[in-house]
Amino acid sequence: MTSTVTVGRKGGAALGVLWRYVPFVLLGLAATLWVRAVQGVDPGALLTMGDLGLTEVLPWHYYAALATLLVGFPLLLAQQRLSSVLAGAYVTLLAGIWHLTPALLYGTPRYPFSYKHIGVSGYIQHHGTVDPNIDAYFNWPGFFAFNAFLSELDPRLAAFDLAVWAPFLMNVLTCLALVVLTRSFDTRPESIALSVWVYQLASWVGQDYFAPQAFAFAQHVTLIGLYVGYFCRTSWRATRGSAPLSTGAGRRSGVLLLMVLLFASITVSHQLTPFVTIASVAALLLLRFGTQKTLLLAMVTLLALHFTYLAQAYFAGHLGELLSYVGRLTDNLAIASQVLVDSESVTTPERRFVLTVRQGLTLLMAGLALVGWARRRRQNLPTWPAAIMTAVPMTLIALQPYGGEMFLRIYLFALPFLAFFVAALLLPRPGSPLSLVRGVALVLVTGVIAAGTLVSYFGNESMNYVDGEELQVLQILLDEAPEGALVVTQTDNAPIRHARYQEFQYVDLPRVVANSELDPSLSSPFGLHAQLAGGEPGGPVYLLFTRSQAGNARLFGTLPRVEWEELYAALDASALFDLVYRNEGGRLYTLSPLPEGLEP
Amino acid sequence: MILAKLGSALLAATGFLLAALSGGPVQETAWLWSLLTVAFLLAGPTVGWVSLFQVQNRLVSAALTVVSSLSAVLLVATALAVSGNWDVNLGLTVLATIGLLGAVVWLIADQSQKEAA
Repeated sequence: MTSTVTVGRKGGAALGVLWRYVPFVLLGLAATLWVRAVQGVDPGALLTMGDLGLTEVLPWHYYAALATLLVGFPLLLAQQRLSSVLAGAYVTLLAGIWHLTPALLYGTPRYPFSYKHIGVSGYIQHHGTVDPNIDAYFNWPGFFAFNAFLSELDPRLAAFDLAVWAPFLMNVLTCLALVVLTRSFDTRPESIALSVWVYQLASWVGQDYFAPQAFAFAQHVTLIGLYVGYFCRTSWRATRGSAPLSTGAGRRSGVLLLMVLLFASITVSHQLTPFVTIASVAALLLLRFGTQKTLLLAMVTLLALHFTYLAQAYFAGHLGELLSYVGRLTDNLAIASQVLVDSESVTTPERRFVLTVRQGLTLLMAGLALVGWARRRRQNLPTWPAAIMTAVPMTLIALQPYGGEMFLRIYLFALPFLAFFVAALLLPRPGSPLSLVRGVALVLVTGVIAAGTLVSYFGNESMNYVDGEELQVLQILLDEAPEGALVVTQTDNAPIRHARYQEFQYVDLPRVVANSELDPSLSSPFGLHAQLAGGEPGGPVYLLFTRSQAGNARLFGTLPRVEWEELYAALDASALFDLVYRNEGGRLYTLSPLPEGLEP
Repeated sequence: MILAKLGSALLAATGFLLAALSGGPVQETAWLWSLLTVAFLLAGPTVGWVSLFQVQNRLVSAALTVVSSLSAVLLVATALAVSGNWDVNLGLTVLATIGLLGAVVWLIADQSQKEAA
């Protein structure tokens, strides 16, 4: 009997040791599957991605890698003592699976807007200064100056190369910031790990690329985490000194200093984020949770200083336009909903599916978070500061549609708090182990979220992928066009300006059509020539058509009456346009002089 | 600890001096100098944050170190670009900025520890 018990204990101990290694083994398996998946993608298939984007070309290994991680993470949480190193490795691999996959497959900066941002950094690097009169970017130059600085330090840190890896790096930075934030709400390691995990799984909005928003967001999250942790009550009934991490005056001074540093850095980098930060701190103060008013004063002062000094040139020309949106809630909603809501311009069922999944995922996260909030309330755990922070970004829609992107930004700013409440729903009560039922529920819920993000996040890749041949067309434009040339792009989301940033004027074809009497089908090259040749500035005019722009036009239904292949054929055949360069990635035309006898 | 503090402050001061005297042989040796000192300098804010916040969680102190250092360098880069003083030795300026940040955090951490005592 004694020996049986001993054997049983030994067997149990051995099983326990083995059990401890299961999450580690699954992590290794997921990494192997992912590497195999990246190696297995056919590069040619990337060029023909349709309206479901990257999901059309990823092999089964990719989904198996993701599924393995989704099973492994709850097993990690079920361990008696959570290993923060292993949890960090899981989150990093997940960030890699989402964000390194396109980087490794494409080898070029993702998202057309990255190219403008590279161009602004390049301008600062080469000129050693900023010119606020060029455009808005130069009125908020922090992020660009920072990257110009890095490029200057070492050519391996050049903005173009950093932009390739930026989505991964930005997400790692954001995850670090989320650790600071979540710890202010709940110091349990499981809560911190699962909140960051859910955030990574549900972050589909694609604001994490080589852009000021991504960097400023990580700073904002850190700042809010510090404010809630050190200067915030946890409930209305709590006393003044009841902040979760409240300690001595010296420590709070240090935190205050750091928050001012972070806010100054946010203010010089991004237009929108400082308003969200100020609104968040103001809301906590107004609702009597916040206890530190000096920070709000310092933030408003810094913002005012920025507006009257660095951003003066921008506001001198745009203040009226900016103020015109304030309070126009219905109009702002209509403009901002284009990224989520099906409309007449959506032409394919795949695109409709992506938009439906985005809506569903957003509603799912909101619904789960609401139940998580109620669960924490029932457990008498603090909820209000995080709930207020979830609500604050929604007020932004009353101020601006933000070029149609406001819903994306609202989701982005609310997501850390939504993820925290979803984690609160999925975790066991404090002190209780993770049961089998709850573990299975965790796998299922995170699986549904991950599936939604796969479709939502990778659904736009046909317009986000700028391949080497498309880059070649852009390079020919940069090599050939003289300073002052007018470049007409196919859509308003063209990968332009990564060099010679300020030297050309740009206009997009939809705008040309909207502001003229041109036939919206553009069936007449003569009409198009006459319209472009007669416009300002009167110098050489180039027409730039590229693959990613064609993807953008298809996804958003831009110029729906234009048959692009027919237009290209008509331009090729017309004596009014010269083909400068053409390859599989795009084509570049310039206007020829009108033949004698033809009047514009 | 004392050595780290003194080293951080000394390197910050040297960095500023060399940044001001940019150009010539100083720039050529800047990267070697940087490689030798960057780990040492980063130890300043890291140990400072750990001490200041009494943070057991290494990830939190790493997060605060990374975010605060990047923010400080961003502000310095912006100031240089806006003022048109781009010709300073940038490598040394980065090190000086992080070193200064480390020194400030250390000062506050010291004060905080005295308070606690």
